[in-house]
Formats: sequence, structure tokens, C-alpha cells
Amino acid sequence: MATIEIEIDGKKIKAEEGGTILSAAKKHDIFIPSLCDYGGGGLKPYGACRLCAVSIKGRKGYVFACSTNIYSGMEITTYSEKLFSMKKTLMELYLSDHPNDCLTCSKNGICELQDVAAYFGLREIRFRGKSHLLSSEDISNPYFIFDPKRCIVCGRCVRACEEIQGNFALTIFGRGFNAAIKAGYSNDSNFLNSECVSCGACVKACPTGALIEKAVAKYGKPAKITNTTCGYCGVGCSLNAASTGDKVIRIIPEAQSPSNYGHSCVKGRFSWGYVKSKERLTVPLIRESVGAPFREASWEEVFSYAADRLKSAQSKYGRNSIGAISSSRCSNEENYLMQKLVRAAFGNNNIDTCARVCHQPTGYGLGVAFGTGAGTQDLSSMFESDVIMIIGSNPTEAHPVVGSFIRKTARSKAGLIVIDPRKTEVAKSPHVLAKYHLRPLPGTNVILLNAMAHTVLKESLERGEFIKEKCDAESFKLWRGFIEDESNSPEAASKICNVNKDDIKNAARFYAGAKNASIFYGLGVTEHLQGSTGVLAIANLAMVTGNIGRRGAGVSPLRGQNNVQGAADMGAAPEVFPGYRHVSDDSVRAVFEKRWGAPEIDKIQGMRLPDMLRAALSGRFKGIYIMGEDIVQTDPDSNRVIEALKNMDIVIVHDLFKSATAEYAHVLLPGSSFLEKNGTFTNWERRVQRVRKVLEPAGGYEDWQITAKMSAAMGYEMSYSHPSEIMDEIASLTPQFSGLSYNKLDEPFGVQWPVDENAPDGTPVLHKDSFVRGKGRFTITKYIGSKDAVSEKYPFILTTVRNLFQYNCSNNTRKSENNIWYGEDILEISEEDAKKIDINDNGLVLIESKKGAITLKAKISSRVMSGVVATTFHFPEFRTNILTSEYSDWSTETPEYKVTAVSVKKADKPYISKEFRPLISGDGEIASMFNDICLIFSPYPEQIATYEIKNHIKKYWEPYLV
Amino acid sequence: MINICVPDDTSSLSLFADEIAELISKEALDRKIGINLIRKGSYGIFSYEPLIEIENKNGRFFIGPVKENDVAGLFDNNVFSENFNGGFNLKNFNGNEIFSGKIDDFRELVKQKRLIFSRAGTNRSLSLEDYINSGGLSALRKIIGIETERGKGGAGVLIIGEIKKSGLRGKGGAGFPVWIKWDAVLKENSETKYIVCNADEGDSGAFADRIILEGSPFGVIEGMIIAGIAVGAKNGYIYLRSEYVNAKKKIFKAIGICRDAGLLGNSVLNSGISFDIDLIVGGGSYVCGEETALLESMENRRGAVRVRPPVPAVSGLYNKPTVLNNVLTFAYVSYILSPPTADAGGLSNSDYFSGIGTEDSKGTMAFQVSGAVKHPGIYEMPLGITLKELLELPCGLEGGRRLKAVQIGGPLGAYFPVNEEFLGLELSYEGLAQKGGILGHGGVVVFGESADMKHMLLRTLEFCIDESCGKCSPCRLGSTRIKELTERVLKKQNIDTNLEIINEILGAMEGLSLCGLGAMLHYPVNSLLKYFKQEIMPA
Repeated sequence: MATIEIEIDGKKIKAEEGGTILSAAKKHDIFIPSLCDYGGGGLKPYGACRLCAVSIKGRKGYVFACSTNIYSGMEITTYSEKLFSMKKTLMELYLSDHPNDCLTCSKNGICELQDVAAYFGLREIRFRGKSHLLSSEDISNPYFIFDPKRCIVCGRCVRACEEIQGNFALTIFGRGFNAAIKAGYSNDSNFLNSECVSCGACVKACPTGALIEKAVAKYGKPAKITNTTCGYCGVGCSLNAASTGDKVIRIIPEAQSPSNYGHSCVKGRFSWGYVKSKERLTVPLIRESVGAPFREASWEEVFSYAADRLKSAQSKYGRNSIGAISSSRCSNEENYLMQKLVRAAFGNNNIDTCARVCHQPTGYGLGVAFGTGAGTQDLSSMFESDVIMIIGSNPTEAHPVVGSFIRKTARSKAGLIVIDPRKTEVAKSPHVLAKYHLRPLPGTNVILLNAMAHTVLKESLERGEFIKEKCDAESFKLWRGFIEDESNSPEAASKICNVNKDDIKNAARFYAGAKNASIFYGLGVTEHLQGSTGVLAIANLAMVTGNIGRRGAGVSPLRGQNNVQGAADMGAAPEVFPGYRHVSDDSVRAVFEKRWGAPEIDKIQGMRLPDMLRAALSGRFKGIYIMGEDIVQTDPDSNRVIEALKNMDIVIVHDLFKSATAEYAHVLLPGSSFLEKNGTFTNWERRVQRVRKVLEPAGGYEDWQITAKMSAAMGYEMSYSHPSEIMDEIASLTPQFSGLSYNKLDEPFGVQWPVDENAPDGTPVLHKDSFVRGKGRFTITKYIGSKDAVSEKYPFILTTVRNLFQYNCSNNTRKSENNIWYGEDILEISEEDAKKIDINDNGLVLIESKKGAITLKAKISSRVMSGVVATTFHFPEFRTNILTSEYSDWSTETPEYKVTAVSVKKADKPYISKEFRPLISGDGEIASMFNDICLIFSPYPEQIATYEIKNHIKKYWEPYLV
Repeated sequence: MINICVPDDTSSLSLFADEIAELISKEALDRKIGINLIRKGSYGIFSYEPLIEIENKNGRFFIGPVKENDVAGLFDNNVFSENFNGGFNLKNFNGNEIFSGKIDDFRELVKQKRLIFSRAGTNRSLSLEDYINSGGLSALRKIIGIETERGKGGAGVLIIGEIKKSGLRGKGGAGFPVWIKWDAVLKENSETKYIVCNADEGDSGAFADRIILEGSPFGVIEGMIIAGIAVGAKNGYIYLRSEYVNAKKKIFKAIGICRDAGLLGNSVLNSGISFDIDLIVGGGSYVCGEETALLESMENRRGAVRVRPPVPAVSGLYNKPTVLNNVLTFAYVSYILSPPTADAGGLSNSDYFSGIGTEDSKGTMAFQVSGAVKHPGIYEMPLGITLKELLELPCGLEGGRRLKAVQIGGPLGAYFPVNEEFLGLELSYEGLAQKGGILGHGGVVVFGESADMKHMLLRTLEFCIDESCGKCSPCRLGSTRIKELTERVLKKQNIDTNLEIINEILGAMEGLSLCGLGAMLHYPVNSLLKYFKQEIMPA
């Protein structure tokens, strides 16, 4: 957009062409009264308050600044006696139906109506009459109040709900003087029982005290505002935490941030009450054995106790007998220190994170295909897509802000393809209808994606130029031969995935035909036996259609937790250092050894999380330090996890709460929440953003300090006075982060890696001129399917999913008010299936898999198809993960949470099975993993296949497995 | 065999036209008189409705108003016979005055300049054949010829040029030059464009749209197709007032007839040009007659006014460039682009049209006169005639009853006293503006001596309160407050201060409201307070 010159009240100003008069004036701090405009919040002009009238030289009458675009040389006058007097009368009309009790109003001091009224200098209201002053408040939402008597019907809330969140929960009810804001459409509807998802966009948009956070109403205008980054999902919303003293009053999304453009969801916006929960761990606890009660201990005692036990395990069982699980919930700096602790102080590479159970296949798959295991574009790039394909991801619930923006783009221009067995809101919701919603049976993504690629090639829809220029020719040739085979045809695929062949073809054509197409995917792709193959199939499809490396096109994994990307970047993985460099690389190791002053870093990759558990069961692994991860509740096959933990000599759990895992710990270290520390998180866009301390940590230390102290106790000193020093160390050791520093990150709203000499301001879109690995690589993606198949005994496929109001193990959201919306795990079942087995809505059902059995309440739902049931694992008391199996991705051991064969029956009382039932054990498990790898590479010519298999095992398997 | 035509528009039906038609058939059968019963639209002079036409060897004769219990008597008097020659003018037939004669004997009709209403009453409303026989489709054929010859988009500039030359202004109320809108839509670069016909005729005292839609809908359809060709739109919509049940049926049928005849569809008159029309019925809100609220309503949203810019020509229905005009405007377009009739005296219709009227208000206007007049109805007359000239027709030559006031231009138009000064009022956009009024959609409601102007004032305010969509604050809050203040004034409380505040609020509403509903409330209120102050607030 060009910059042009306009004149406001005689003052010449520069402004962007195409903008409105009001936005130009606002940028230059020229006050034009307005109440309904919310351009700063991203809403379209509305023109209801009529206060922004101005006159323009050479034009009769008045124009309205909120909706009139500027042109070069425009001369605007904001004040004349007549205009002012008309507006003053209008303001008097407003106040004739308003309480005018400013000093005792919740919004006192942060009210736009107050500001505008002040501008007009109204000193009396000469007329009163019919009013809304006796209207009653809607207090149904746990976090905010709607007080209609303070409402000026500017419609900002309604429009925010429509245009930003896309839920259409609010409306203006009635006409004329009786027009009023209403949640829902029936007489007794309110915010709680309507379509409202409590994202808070309406509350943020409200210019008066009509919609206000209950905490602000109670505690008043906050004293301090701190900009930070949300600690929930991988969207990485930039938030402003407003606090008074030691109390957070409210959290409001930052309007300017490119991660979220002023939007957030119920979790980031409201669900932070857990930080002050009475259940927080505030002092270290220890005990001798798992059966004994915990006792409080000093930090010194705890560290020496823990270090002694770890060291003694190592002396008894060898250096490799201990390890650590780092946390995608924690900061980059903390993850960096965890892997440093393991490599420098434990002396092995037994470090892993919860990425192992979610997005490790992304790291592997995108790494193999493109050269780096990260999303290729940023949020704003998606706004330019013509087609958005969403695979195995339910962004409206799991990544609500990205979900809102996808739906917004879909409402304005983009066509959607959704691949998901379940009906999600991106498939169908108000004013959003995916052009194609393909509903494969869980576990059959790969064949479906292969068939789409088959269609692209068979119908010559590929981008030859792109492939020729940017991709590896040999790999394309091999892949082409494979994919064009009849076994990958839509006809053949249709029989396996149960999606109509014409739908597959049409979706492929639609995707390939787009000018710019983006793919978003989630755990529905990765959490499979073929998770990595699924990611590779997505990469193949993007490359063959040339949809990589420019704005509007790309492949984006939606990361589950706030810092999955960062934890992996920081080397919290058994085979790589920060920056994804293999530990076997001598020169890299030398650099770290020198900088860390740590002699002899182990050059053999360490154990992955499942390896650790497996080794614990066989008595080889005896000590673990788990930071910010509740593996008992969230890892699959809970009884196996418990069995493994019980087999260890020392289990250190470093967490905010006494989690399910804590029940098997010897040491509990009180962790710090995202509001209680400094650091950085890296979101799905690779955007590194600052986390800033708002409150003092409940236990006295930030997590990075605790890890550093643990390291010292192990005999390896780490001395940092601030996380910025850790970041400096990271930057000095890692080429792609070499330009990162806290100074750089304090430029508003973070920066996307790589940040280096070539890209000092970061890299919004990856693979622009060429792929990071040089040439993009096509990989053969053979479909081998899931191991857990339905049978007469287990006729349903259970798939695990997420709910908007709860978050993962939910030890945070469960301690907020969110249970009012979703208070227990429930089993979604189709009406057809419910009838077949004679269960009612809300009836208790027994769900049994080969692994165990639990009971849940059933919910008859049109979201799932017949034959598929779905549930969440947000609540520890229901133990959903007792059902899930040890089957996992052939490449990364990411568990297959999405496919478990189960039976569903009526139950009369709650039940949870406690015994551990292995399906395969010990060496059988390893043999089976090896088998899978061989099967995956089998379509390649023998020589290549042998090389690939060898290489894979050399790179990723801990030596014992071999 | 004689043809007997009974009207079938809403007004006639409400006066039992269907029952009368049935009675005529039955009587004819009983009396063994051979007749063809034909249904036609209304001429729009309601005092004669149901007005029955008899066509026999002597010519065409009219008789009306006819009531059910007149039918047998009329047969007895040989009115429905081969020999009837119009000589039947009874001051007291069955206790009523019935008029009969040839069409030329109806001075209310003869004195009009019917350009677009020429088919109302004469044509069978749903007969495409009648339409074509009366010159219909000739404009469209000509335009399709040009478009085919010059290629896609070839006719647009020419059509818009003709409309510009005619000086046609939109008939919905605001009187915006039609060609500017069309030109703007033509110039928008968009694959999808729309034509929308505003048939949400909600003004009190307005019925011209209904008469034309019930009497001869094809002229409107033809105008919409021409608009589609002119700007490159493939879809048109008629947004109809929900109360117009009969018009709804007729339009629905007319669209079907046009589709069957190849006038609408994938290839209009086999030209390869695609254009189709759908009917959408409103939800009953006055504001939905405002063009942007109408679009919101069409999109299934709350009927509230949109902010402008952008104007509908740039971003209208579903944010696409949209030609949005009144029913009559489309009918005028068909007329203007048709080959000239004999009346035009060798001029093209556009030249002839621009020769009628005044400098700024060209052509004719369908004045709709209602209220305390002898012959309420449609009076299509040249713009610029005086109020006196207009009222002479419906009031009768003698001057009719004593009249007190007129309200011109709908519920938000100004009230004027019927006195020497205002009888000379020039009925044109500029003439009305000069006197502090509006021409609007051409409704003229006449009030007799017994009318209560205080009641009219309160009714006007209630109307504005009831119909305010509630979006913009001046209208949402202002109309209610003005009514409250007016009630205080009527109770003699702080009269001067309150009148001053009323005036202030009206000023703010005029300057700041989002649409005409709020912005024009000052017309009726101020004119009533000015001209009828004595009656409303006796000292």
C-alpha cells in the first residue's frame, strides 16, 4: 500500500492508502469520537454510533470517518459548531439511557463511553424516559458479566463473535429502542447455554461496562500490564496479563501480535486460575518409597537426596540407567538446560520430551522431505490461501485461535478440504462448510493421501516445473512409480479407507488446482502406527502440487503444546543437539564439549521415552527426572507406565501439581507456571516469543533455576542469573538461532527461526528459493495400516480427541471454572451404534480393549460415524489411556492414540482395570518394530531399502535395541 | 361471443371480483349468453373497481364499480350483451352509483400520460402474448441484437447512454440518476454481479409497484434482463413485500412463463446470454425497503441498514456489485429502450421521455393519490405538474370535498396545507425540496377536514419508533425521546424548552442517521408543527 498525504484539521499527515479516515487519525493521535468502530480489533466498519461524522472539503454533508477511505489530498475537518452540537445532542441521547454512575462502575477508568462523553463536556441530561435501567444482568458465564443497562448496542460484541471467533452466538434482539444484545435466540438463553465458547472476544470488544470480566468487576482496574505468551497450545497467542500486586486480574490478547491478532480462546483468556490454586505444590516433598507418605523438605535436602539416588542408580546399573523427560510446556531455556543436564551431568543422551507422544513424526517426516522438521509458513500467510486442507486436526477445539482464523478465511474466500473421521467445526459450522469432508476410517490416512497423489499424477495435475527445479529427480521417479500403481488408486483406496472414490478424486483436483493451498495437520496424522508415513505423504502431496515456499502455500503441523516446537529445537531428544544435529557428529560434539566444559559427551544416541519405560520393565533403567509431564495420565497404556515407574529406584517429578504420575514419585519439585517465569516459547510458526514473569513462582524458583540446581547437585555447575544468558548460549552454539537474543525478541512479538546472518529478522516462510535440504525429497509411503483391527470381540474403533474447554492432562483447566462446560470424559457414539447396543444418552458404558477396561458416560453424537467411538483423556479419574496400546509409529515410537479396537457395553457401575496386560513383550516388541520398518521400506529396490533401514536404526535406535 | 373482462388485482379481489366473475359465468350459462370471461389487471382507479370491460361488436365498454348483487340486474339490463353500447350510467342502481362508458369517458384515465402503466388494466396480466402484442420485448430483442453483433458486453454502454439521455431518476424515493448506478456496476471488475428489484413497497399510500406487478409484470422482468445484459449480471432477484400475496403468486407464475418461453434461463431468446430471476419475499419490516437493509434481509440476516461506503453498486448482494432499483425504474427502462410509439412524434423514447417534465425531474411519475378523494388511484403524470393539477383528476372537476392537507412522499414526507400557496406546488424533486418536502415514491395522501393532525403527529412518531431497525443510535434513541418530549409539550410542560430540544434531536437525526428513516423524520414532524401548530397545540 502506498503512503499518501491527507490533511486533518489543517494538519498534514501521512497515511496508508486504502485505510479509513478514522484509522489514519488514530495513528496520528487525532481524536475523532467513535464508539462502534473496532477497526483496531479487526472488525469491519459498522456505522452505528454515528459519532465519527466529519466534513470533507468539496463534499456536501458529512461523511463517517469509520467507513470512508482516504485519498491523496483529502482535507478533513473534524470540528464545526454545528457538527459538535449535533454529536453532543447524540451523546445526551446515549446518556439518557445509561446509569451514569461512573465512579462505582466496573469499567471506571477504562471506559470508552466515558472518554467520548468527556470530549463533549455534557453537564446535564435534559431528558429521561423509557430506559433499560431495570434490565437484569446475565451472570451465567463463570468469567464475565453482561449488564444490559450499560449497553449502548454498538454491536461490537456481536460482530466480534461473528467476524473474529465465528461462532455467531450473539445477536441483536428486538428493534428500535428495544434492540438489545442477546446470547442465543430463545427467551431463556444466556451466555452459558448458548453457542458461546467463552473466547472473550466480545468482552474485549465492549467499549462500556456492559461486558466485563468478573475479576475486573470485583477488583477494579489492574495496576500493571505485562506482555507474555500463552502457556496452553502451540498457537502461541501473545497476551497481556493485567495484575495488581500478586494477583492476576485479567488476561487480554495482544492486538498487534501476528501470532493471534488480538484473539484468544477460553483457555488463554480466562483459564489461568490454576496458578493460584490451593493444590499447587509449593514446597519440595520427598519419601523413601512409593508406598510411604511424602514429607516436606528443604530444597538443599531434596537436591542432594535426588542426586544421591540418581548417582547410586548409575553406579549400580551403569551410566545409561537414568534419564530425563523434558517438557513441551516449559520454555526453550528450560528445555535447553534439561538436555544439557542429561548430556553434561548424567553423561548420556537419555533425554526425551512429550513430543515423543505427539509430533515427533513431524520432526522426522518434514525433516526427511524438506530438510527441517517444522511448519513452513506463518499465520498471516494462510489468509492468502485459496484452498486450506485440514487433516486429522480439530483446530476449533485444540488450536482455537488458528481454528477461528481458518474459519474466517473460509468465510471470506478459501475453500476447505477436511480429512477427519469426525465432524469438526472446520467441516461444518455456521457459515462454514468444507467443500470436501472426507471421513476415512481411523488409521487409513496414508492410503487416502496416496490416492489423492495418484489422482494428481494420473490426471497430470502436478507442477512439473516446481518438481524439476526444486525436487530430487531420482526420488520423484521412484515415488511416481510407486504412487501410480493401481494399489494406490482411489478405487483401491476407497475400499480401505471407506471414502467415496469420486470424493477422493475431486478433493485431489481441488487441492491441486488451487493457486495457493495450505495444509494444516495435527495429531490425527501423527498419532498412528504410520504417523511418520502420514507426514511424508502430506509432504509429497505439497511438493507434487508445488505448494511450498511462498505465502499462501505450505504445510503446517499444529503443535499440541505451547512449546513442542521449541523443546525439539532445543535438543530435548535422544539423538540430536539443539538445532537438530546428530550426537554422532564429532565436530558438533566438540563445540558443545568445549563450551559446556563437559568432557566426552556420549556419541551414541540415547533412549526415547518408550525405550526408557521398556528398559525399566526389564530392569535396565532405574532413575528418571520428569519435568512438566504427566505420563501416567497422558501416555498410552497407563498400566504399563505405572509398572515401569514402580520398577525404578528414583522417580523425580517436577510439576505444578501432584499429578497422576506424582503418585509413583520419590521426589516432588514444585514447578513454576508460565506466569511465574521469564523465558521464551516457540509456536507452530517457528516464532520464538518472550514469556515474561508476572508473579513470583509459587515454590520460590523458576523451572530453569530448579534444573540448574539439580545439575549442580549432580556435580555439574550451571550458573545463569537470567534466562537471557541461556538464550545467548543457545545462540552461540546453534547456527539457526545465532541471531536470537532477548534484545531481538523484545522487538514486538518475537521472531521466526532461522534467525541468522542471512535472515537477521527471521524467516516467515521456509524453503523459499530452495528446500533447506537442497532438493525436496519424495518418499515412498507404503500403507501398512494399524495393528489393532476391529474384531467380533472388539467391534468399534476408539479414537482419542480433545475438547475445547480442557487441555491435555488438564491439571490446569480442571482447576479453573471450565468444568462447567466439560466436566468429565465422555464417550461419543453414533445414534445407530447406540441403538444397536441399547444405550441411552448419558448412560454408563463399559469400554474394553485388549489392554484393559474403563467406564464412561455415553453421549449420542452425530460427530462420529457408525463403528467409531471417541473420547478425551482430560480427567485422571477416568483413565482413558488404560485402553490405548503400546503400538506406535514405526519411525519415532509415537503411540497410536487414534486407533484402539474396543467393545462398548452397558455398565451398571464404574470400573477401571488395574492390571498391566502386555500385547507383546521384551524382544518381541523390538522385533515387531524392526518388522514395521522393513515393511515400510519394502517397495524400494533392495539396495536402497537395505541402506535406508540400516541408516534409520543407526540414527534413531538406542544401541540396546540393536 | 362477447368478451367480458373482470380485474384480478388485490383491490378488486377484496371487492369480490372473483365471486363476481363466477356469478357472471353462471348467469351467462343460465341465460344462454355466449361469453368469454377474461381476467385482467387493474387500471388503478379504485373507485371504479371492480371495473368490468365488455367487448362486443359495438366496441369496448366499461362499467364499474360492480357488486355481486348487481350482476343479475346488469344482465337484465342487457349490459352483458352483444348490443350493449355503453349507454348505462345510473346514479342509483341497487343503491349505488355505477358508471359506464367507453375508455375515453374515464377522464381520470384519459388525462394521464401513461408510459409504464399503459398496459395496466388493458393486458391479461400473465399473458406474454398480450405483452408482446402491446410492444413488449421489442427493447430486449433490440438489445440482444446489439449484444450479439458487438460481442459480450457490447450493449452495456449503449443501454446506459440511452438511460442517461432520458434523464431517468430512480423511482424508489431518493431519485438518484439510474445511469450512474448502472455505470458503476458495469465498471466493477467482478465475475459475479446481481440485479435486485426492490418491490418492498412499504410507504403508507403507495401502491404503484403492486399495480404494475399485478397488472403487467413482464415490463419489470424485461427491464431486469436488460439491466443484466447492461452490466454483465446473470442473476436477478425480486424482493417483494410480504403483504403482497397476490403479486407473489403472479410474479412466481410470470417467472415460470418467462422461463418456459426462453426469456429467462441459460440462453435468453436463444442468444447464449444467461439470466434468471428468483423471487424473495421479505419479512415485513419497513426498513427492509431501504436498499442495504433489503440486501441484509436477502442474505438471511437481520434487516438492518448497512454502512456506506461501499455502495451496493460496488459491494451489494453477497458483497458483489449490484444494480438495485425500484420496480417502476425497471419498467421505465423497458419503456425507454423500446422503439418509439406514435405518441413520441418521431423521437426516440428516451428523447420523448426527457422532453416531459422539468429540467431536473424528467419524464412521468406514478402519483398514487389516496385518502379523502373521490377517485383514489394511480395517476401517471408528467413531473412538474402542480398539486392543483394532480388533485383535479381524483377529486373531480368540481373540486371535490374540502381538503385540509396532503402528505407527499410516504410516511416520512412533509405535510402541506391545501391552500392557494401549496396548490401551486410544483410536483418535482426540486419543487418539493424548495418547500421543505420530498417527492419520494410519489405517494400523495389527502386529508379531509375532519383529519386530526395531532393524531397524525403522534402516529408519525410511533411509526418511526416501530420501524427503527435499532442499528444507528440517533434513530434508535431519538425517535423515542421525541415522542416522549412531544407528549410533554402536548401536556403543556416546558413547551418552549422541550420544543427546542425536539428540534435539536431532529437536527442530530437529520445530520447523523444511517438511513432516511431517522434522517427524514424532521419532514413530517416539522411540517406538522409549522403548518398545523394551532390545531396541535391550541394556546
